[in-house]
Amino acid sequence: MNTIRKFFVAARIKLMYLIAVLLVLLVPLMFFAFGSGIVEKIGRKIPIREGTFSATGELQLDRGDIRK
Amino acid sequence: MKETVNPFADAKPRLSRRGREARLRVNPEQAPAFMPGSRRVDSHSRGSSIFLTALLFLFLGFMLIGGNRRNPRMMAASAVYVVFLTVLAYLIFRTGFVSRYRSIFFSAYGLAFVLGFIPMLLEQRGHLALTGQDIANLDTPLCHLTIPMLIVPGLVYGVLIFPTKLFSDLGFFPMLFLWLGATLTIGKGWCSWGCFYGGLDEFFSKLLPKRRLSSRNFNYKLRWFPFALLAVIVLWAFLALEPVYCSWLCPFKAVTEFVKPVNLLIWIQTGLFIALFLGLVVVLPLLMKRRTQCGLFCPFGAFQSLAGLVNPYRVRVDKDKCTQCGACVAECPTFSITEETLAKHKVSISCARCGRCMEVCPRGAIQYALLGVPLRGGTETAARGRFWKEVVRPDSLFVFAALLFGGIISGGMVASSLLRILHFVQTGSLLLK
Repeated sequence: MNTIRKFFVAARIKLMYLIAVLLVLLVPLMFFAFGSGIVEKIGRKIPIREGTFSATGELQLDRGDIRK
Repeated sequence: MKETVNPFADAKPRLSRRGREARLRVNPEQAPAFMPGSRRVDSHSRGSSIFLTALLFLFLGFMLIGGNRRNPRMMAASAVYVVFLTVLAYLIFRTGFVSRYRSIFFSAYGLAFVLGFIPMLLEQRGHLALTGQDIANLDTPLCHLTIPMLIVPGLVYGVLIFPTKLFSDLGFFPMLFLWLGATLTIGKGWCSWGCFYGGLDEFFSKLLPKRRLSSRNFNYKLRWFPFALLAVIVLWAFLALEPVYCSWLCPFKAVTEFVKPVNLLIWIQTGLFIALFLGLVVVLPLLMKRRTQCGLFCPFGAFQSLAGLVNPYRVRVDKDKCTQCGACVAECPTFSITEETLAKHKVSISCARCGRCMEVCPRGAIQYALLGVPLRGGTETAARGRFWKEVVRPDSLFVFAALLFGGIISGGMVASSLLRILHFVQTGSLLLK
């Protein structure tokens, strides 16, 4: 039982270090994603659009905008 | 039998008294560890410091210098900035004084933002004062502070309540991705390594050598105010369909853009922005030597405290080493360690991962840690020379990721600000176009 627990603790520690290293690598990857146009592609697929604003700066919201 | 000596048995609280910090009494053998220019117990060996710094230099050089290869002037300015960051990174790893050198980077970033943003807005839009027509044309810049207010109306109505397409055709989404990336990689560390507004707060909190306003009688419950403010602005933005924090409460409107004051209401709003900026970002940080805007007001900081829980890095207090001396309570810039939290050997959720507590702790009891990984013990902490163990320590990995993220995100702003300064010296104008 003790051996199994030690194994899982060691595995958990190794996994956390692996995640930490991957997070370091994610930083440059994230900025490459900006340059490569992936962000643009994903951004256009998100179903949230820019609001329409009046010349006084107020948001104009149609009733049809409310999702059902 | 060998007698065990506790070198910190006589350690006294390092709380502020009459604007001065009480001298910390420790065993003279340990005293050199706290002298200026010395190294902390968990500093890196020369080999691992050089390795980590060189790796960071390569990443930053590739991203910042290589990314500007079509613009030789920006490339040169970026090269200067990369060298600056590389020197700071080496000093951080070699000495272990994370907060001291991070503070230089962060302050430079905050100042560069102010210096670069207003001219950039003038170049892009042609005028500074925001008009209703600018809003209708979506000619408004956007920052990360808007994110909590935009999410709920966006999900419910499918509409962004903030008019922005000034710097990108994609409007809000680049900022959303940037925030997601920051949250994953450094979590709440965004507030001490990535936020340009925080850099200003940091700068003013470091200006005076001595604390003029003691926080001994400070009510630490006030650190929950940003969470209450967050709840209010999210709800209010949803009900009013307006980014209310930007309209009424953002202290940084005072150094970015303002709405053209055409009526009394806008004059009141402008007065509020200026008062909040002077009070929370300039005067209180100067007097208290703490980041009052970040710690006691910023609702995005509260939002990031919650969102940042997905990130595996934490700041933890070692029960076996902590003597409850209170040095960290008196020094935490964001009011995240109180006597109550320290009694439980914990830091608040609002901890911004700045590293100040680690610098002032006389026993090296506070560390950057990874979730689910035991803290480094006493002998292991002091041991140097085991190259790979030093390179993949949680603090090495966090500082590396945070400096890389902060360096890349600040690179364009700092490089363009350097060019603007040069241009100002030559022509008397900060505008490049």
